[in-house]
Amino acid sequence: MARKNRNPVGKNVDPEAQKKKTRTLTLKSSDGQEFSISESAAVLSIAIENMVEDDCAGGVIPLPLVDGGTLARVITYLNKHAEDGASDEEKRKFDEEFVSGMEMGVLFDVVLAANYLDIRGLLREVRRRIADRMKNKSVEWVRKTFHIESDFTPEEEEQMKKEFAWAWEGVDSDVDD
Amino acid sequence: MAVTITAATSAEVVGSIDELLIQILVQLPVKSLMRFKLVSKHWKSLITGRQFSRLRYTSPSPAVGLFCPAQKISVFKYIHLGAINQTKPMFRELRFPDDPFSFWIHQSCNGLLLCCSSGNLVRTRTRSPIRRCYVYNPTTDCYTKLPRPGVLNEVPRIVHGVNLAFDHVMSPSHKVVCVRGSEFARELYQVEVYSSESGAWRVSGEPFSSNANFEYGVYWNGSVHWISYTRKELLYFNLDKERFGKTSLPDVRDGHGGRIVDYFGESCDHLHIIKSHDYEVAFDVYEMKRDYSEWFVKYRVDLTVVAAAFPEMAYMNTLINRTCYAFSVFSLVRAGEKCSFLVLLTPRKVVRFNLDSHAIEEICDSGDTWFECLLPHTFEYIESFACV
Repeated sequence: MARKNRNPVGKNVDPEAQKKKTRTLTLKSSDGQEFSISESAAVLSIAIENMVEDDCAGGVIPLPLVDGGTLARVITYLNKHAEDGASDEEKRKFDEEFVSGMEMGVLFDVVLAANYLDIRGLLREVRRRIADRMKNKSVEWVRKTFHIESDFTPEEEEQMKKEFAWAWEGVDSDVDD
Repeated sequence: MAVTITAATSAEVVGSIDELLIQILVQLPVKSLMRFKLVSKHWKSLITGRQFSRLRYTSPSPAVGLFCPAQKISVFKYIHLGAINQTKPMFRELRFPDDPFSFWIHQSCNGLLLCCSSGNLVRTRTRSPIRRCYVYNPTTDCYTKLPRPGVLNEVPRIVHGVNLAFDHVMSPSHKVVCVRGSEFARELYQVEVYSSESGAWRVSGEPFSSNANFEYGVYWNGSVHWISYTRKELLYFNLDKERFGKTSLPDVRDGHGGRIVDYFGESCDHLHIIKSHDYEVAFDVYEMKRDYSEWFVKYRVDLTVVAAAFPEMAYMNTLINRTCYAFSVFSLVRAGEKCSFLVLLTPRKVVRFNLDSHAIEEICDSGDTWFECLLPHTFEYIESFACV
């Protein structure tokens, strides 16, 4: 039973796992901010785990694609998920609250960071949240948000709108959120 | 034109990584997706691509609606069973732009419809002869015309049945099994298989004899299944092995005889058969084990509560001098733990009967619902993004 490092009782704990918990790493964001994090939390990111294993870390791990504000959020997530006593139910609740307050722009920042750092659980959670926020949006909102210019002719657009007229019912007005 | 160079926003970056964008899009409801196809040609290609359907559907989906035949062969009444905001298919009358003929739905299989026509032969209620076939996805409104089935050396043979084999969880492509008359002897049959990958028909195996009715088949577990009423057998053709197998039909203990198969179909990877009789308000739902070892009773159904809520179901049959019940099983939907249900046609209403809680819910009036006495009585509508 007590083979994994998640064992809260602390008996027969894998010494390697124990070491990871006490060892800290420093993550450096694109704008030069440094964050301390336990190795056990950091390696929930598969990308960081690989860097640690390859020993290319040398104490400080530079993350040139993640800014400080986003990295701080990601670290909050990692710490919660590495916490010893946290039950699955607690983590689920945390995840829900973690993403529910985020603005759309922040969700995109976090989804990119989670994608880059390969944090599967966070990626899944944020993707779902983005989809949920997008589902009632208009085509124009999507184009504006993703900076996409339509490459359909007006005739093609008209034709597609006619074919799927029902898909245009119940669309939100384009308020930014 | 002045070009301002600014750092791309995160949203723009997300939009430029197809792999990430597609993972977000697959979570959207069908309605949003049909709208977002209009964002750009690239978005449209992502949403209608082969990868999309596979990512979106990792488990079988239950029916969200039923197409019920109407008086005119190509017209269908749509009965919605799913959530209010879910997709509703857009056609009432089945027509293909380049084809002047009337089509009927021949089979529904995991989101795709096999639609057939007798060409210029005017047919009212029979689903034969089959001369033209389309595979149609009613969610995306896309279709493919198949080459005419059962044609050998340019000579058309009798087509005894065509059946779709498609499961988006297993493969994005589909196949169609055609059972046609053999060129060697009148009483022999021959299987031909069409695959969406090759776009052509191919003869499979040797000619064979059979008593099965190949008109209506049900795809499940990698095989198309047909009922042989005379031999009381279930015959199936496995698409991977391209081989036939057979097993018995459920042995319904029946003191009175004359039970009829009222439902034979598949839902969310379960094959069911229901035999009922109109003087009994209770019946069993049989399900087949995956290894074909036996039919087991999945649900024991007692419609006494339904008959009490809809008293017009009961009538006195003076020929046998006992009370009978007018109903038919339109469909069985395995929508998940505790929410599997039967759709029943009763004289006044189409009713949903929850198989676990036995809760009853009216779906619609049955006034303008045509009752097709052949199987299947209705055709499931299942959301799908499968390419055809």
